[in-house]
Amino acid sequence: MDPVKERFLTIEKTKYYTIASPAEVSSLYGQLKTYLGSGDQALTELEYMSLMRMLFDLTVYIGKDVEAEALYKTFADRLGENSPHLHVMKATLIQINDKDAAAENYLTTLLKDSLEYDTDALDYLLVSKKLLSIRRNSLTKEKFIRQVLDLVDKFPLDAELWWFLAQEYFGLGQFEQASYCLEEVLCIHPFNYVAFGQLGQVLYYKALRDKKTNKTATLEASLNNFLRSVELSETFLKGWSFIANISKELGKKELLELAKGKLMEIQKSDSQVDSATAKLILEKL
Amino acid sequence: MSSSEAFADIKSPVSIEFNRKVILRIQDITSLVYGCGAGILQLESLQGFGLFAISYISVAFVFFAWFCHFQPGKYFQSPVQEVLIDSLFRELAGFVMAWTFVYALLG
Amino acid sequence: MSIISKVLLIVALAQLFHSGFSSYEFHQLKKQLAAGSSVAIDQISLPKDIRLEVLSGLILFTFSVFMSFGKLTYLPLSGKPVLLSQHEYLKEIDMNRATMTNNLIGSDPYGEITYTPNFVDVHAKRKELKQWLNDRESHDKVN
Repeated sequence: MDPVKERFLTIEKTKYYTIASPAEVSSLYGQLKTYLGSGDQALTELEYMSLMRMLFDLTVYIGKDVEAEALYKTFADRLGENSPHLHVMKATLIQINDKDAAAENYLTTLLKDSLEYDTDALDYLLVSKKLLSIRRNSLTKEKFIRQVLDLVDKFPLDAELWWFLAQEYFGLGQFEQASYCLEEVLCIHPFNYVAFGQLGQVLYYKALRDKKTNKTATLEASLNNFLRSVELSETFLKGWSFIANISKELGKKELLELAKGKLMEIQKSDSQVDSATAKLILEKL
Repeated sequence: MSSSEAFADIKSPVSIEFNRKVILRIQDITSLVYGCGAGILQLESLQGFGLFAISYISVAFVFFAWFCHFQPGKYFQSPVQEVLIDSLFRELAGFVMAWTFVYALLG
Repeated sequence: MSIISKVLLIVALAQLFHSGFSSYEFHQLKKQLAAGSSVAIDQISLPKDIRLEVLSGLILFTFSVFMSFGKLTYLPLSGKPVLLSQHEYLKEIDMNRATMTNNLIGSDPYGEITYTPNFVDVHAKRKELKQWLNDRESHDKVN
């Protein structure tokens, strides 16, 4: 497949653009617009639509509100306004053109009037998540987490919700709860090596806080999770760097050497970011 | 099976699907063109099927050598099954179609 | 598709077409001969040069098909757009090896979960970008 097309589709599929730096968002916006304008014949209808969806988000981030409105109207003409992603997009538009309260109002009426009775689980989930993301800043942490937990009760198989909860708990320093949430993510996606890494990280921080007697056991547990993550992905930088650190603390020489070897391998790889980070970590070791 | 064994044997469905598509595409195109070749040569009965067998096996061999570097186990769960057996009748049908079409056109 | 592959494809198709036409003419002649004389036409088989041409066309075509699949290349999601390659035509199926491609291009295959895309704070994101754009503008003005 054409690498340019594949790159855009990967960015869309993994939603990398939602965490990209401003410089990246800005350049991605330009590139994507040119690409979609060029009319690549190899793009299927579905791929084209999902890239357009990404373009909508990028235009919102970058502050081109008129363009975002136009994109929304294109979607609405094509699919009608009553569809999950369209609801979320409309709420976003209200958020930026009007006030958060208006968007909140729109979404709650939507939930109350139709979605509570509809059988569209995806729509309910997406709209509820959007509602939570709007409420996040106005509610206290406890109230907010309670609302997320209510939603988790309704959708216990949604990994993103569990992950989000884990992040919230991690931010509050409640590592027990955070690790429980990540274990739930792993029950849903057993081969998610990133989640294994995250779980290891949570346990590592817990170990740093633990008393001496528990510390070694928690560190061991954390190490095991990192080992599992690199079992699933041989060049997973986060996994190897934590393995090196923990095995150094626990005095496991063989493992430390192995991790150092792997970090050197990553340092030599073509991946720009990973290679630079691996170099830094090796210097610190 | 212990958990460590289970984890050592995890395969990526994306890669499996990708590799399967590549070999299928190669076999689809080549079997049609070899069918045309059989028609041009006006082969009949066993001779035609012989050409199919030779072409099918040699394409698979080139694939194993060139694309798999003689390590098909790295790219297929069960190489013989996936490359040689699964698509046999599909390719045979394509071959016979092209063969009879060109045979009738030229004869 | 590389240029060599395309050239091979054209040569192979030309050979197949040409040999096909030759074969057609040969069989027409054979039919005429059968009608007009008492030559034992069953003894006459397709001339060797036509058969060789078909064979060569088929072999060249096979190579052209194989060559049309280049080594897999990837563009990293962030950073400089450099074409990266693992020098492979296929993707390895073992999970621990297959995910190396993701690490190479800096992609998290579970990003849909781990980046929590549905909980993005739109206002914060817009503020961040506005700030960046302003900084860049003032930076441009200074230079």
